Amino acid sequence: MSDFGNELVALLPRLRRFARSLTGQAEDADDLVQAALERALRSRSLWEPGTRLDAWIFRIMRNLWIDQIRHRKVSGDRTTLHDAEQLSGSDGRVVADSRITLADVEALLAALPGEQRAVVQSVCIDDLSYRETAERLNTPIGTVMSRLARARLALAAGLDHNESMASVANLKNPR
Amino acid sequence: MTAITDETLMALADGELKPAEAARVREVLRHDLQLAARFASFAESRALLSEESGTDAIPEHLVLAARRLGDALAKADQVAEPNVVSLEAAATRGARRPDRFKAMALAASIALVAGGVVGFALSGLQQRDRLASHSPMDSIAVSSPVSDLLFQLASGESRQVRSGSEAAVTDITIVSTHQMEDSSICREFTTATTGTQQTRVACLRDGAWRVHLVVISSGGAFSTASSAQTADHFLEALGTKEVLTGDAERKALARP
Repeated sequence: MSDFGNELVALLPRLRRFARSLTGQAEDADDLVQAALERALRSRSLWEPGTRLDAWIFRIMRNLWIDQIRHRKVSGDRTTLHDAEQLSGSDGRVVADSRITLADVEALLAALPGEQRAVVQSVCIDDLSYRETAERLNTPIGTVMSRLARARLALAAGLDHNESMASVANLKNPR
Repeated sequence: MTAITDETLMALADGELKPAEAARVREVLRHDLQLAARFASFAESRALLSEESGTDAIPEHLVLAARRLGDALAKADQVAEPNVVSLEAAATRGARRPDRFKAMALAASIALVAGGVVGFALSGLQQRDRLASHSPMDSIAVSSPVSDLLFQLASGESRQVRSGSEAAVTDITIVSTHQMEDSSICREFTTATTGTQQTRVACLRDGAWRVHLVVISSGGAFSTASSAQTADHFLEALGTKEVLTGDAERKALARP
C-alpha cells in the first residue's frame, strides 16, 4: 500500500470523530466519511502536496455536511447526503481552498494570548473536559468556555483567511 | 427557548452538552445554515488540533475508501498524463497565478472536458470543436429548440428535445442562471442522452445563445457532481456576479 494509503487509514479515527461531532450519529457519521473520501478521490488534483491531508478532508466533510443542510432548506427533510452531492453550486470550489500547513496552525496558536492558548492546549490537544481544565488552570468554568470560544473563533478566522488567500474567488480580481 | 450562544455551539462540538440540550441544538442546526456553519467551525478547529486517534474498530468499507484515495494520490504524485490537463489542477494553479487562469478561461471559449475524471481533454475532440477551441472568439451556436428552452425554462425545469435527423431524445435541465459582471446572462444546464451526460454553460450575447463550456461526464452520479464543480469554476472565472432566480430570472431572460 502507498504511503498515502497508510496515512489515510491512520487518519480514519480522526475523520470519524470529526464526522460524529458534525452529525451527532455514528451511522450518519460513517456515511459522511465515506462520501468525503469519495469526493476527495474525485477532486484529488486539488490537494496540494505539503499541506495537511487531514485538513483538506475535514474541509470536504464540512462542506458536504453544510450542503446537506442547504439542500434540506430547498427540498425538505428527506434530503440525503447523496442529494447534497448532486446539488449544483455545492461548495466544490472551497474544497480547492483548504491549504493548511502544520506551520499555519502553529503560527495561529502562537499568536493567541497566553490564557487562551492554555485552554486550547488543555481541551483540544490534551483532551481534558471543560471541568478538568477549569480545575487544572484554577479558573471558573464559564471563563474557560468564553476563552476557549474566542480562541477557536480566532483560529477558524485565521485558517479561513489562509484559505481565502488562495481562493479561486480571487480570480475575479486579478492584480 | 434560549438563544444559542457560541459557547453552546462549542460545547456541542466538544461533547460537553447534556443529551437533551444537545438534541435541542442539533434540531435547530438541521435548518439553520448560519448556525450550522458556525458550529462546524468549532468542530473543525477541534478536529485539526486533536491528536487523539481512538481505538474503535473501523468499518472495512472506510478502510477501502481510504486506500483507494491513498493510491490515487500516490499516482497523481508520480504520473503526468499527456494531453490531459486537469481543469481543477489548472484552477488550483490559477489560484496562485490568477491572471493566467482568467485569461485561459476567457480564451477557451469552448472547452471540452471528458471522462469520469474531470480534465480538459486537448486531444480526441471533434475537429470542429478543436478548431473552435483555438479561436478565442469562437463558441458553439445552439440549435433553435435548445435556444427556445434557454429563453423559456426557469432554473430547475426540464424538457425533452429530439435532435435533428437522429431519433435520439435529449433531456435538458436548467441548473442555474447567472448575471455576469459584464451584465450578460449565462446559464448552466445539463443535457442527457442514453449513456452520456453533459454539463454546459451557454451565454446570451446580442440576442443569441452560444455554448462556451461543455463538460462530458461518463461515470454516473459522482462525476455529475464534479462536472457541476467544473462549471462553477468556469462561471466564477468568467465573472459571475449573481445567481438569478424567480422574477429576476424571468426578467433577465425576456426576449427584447
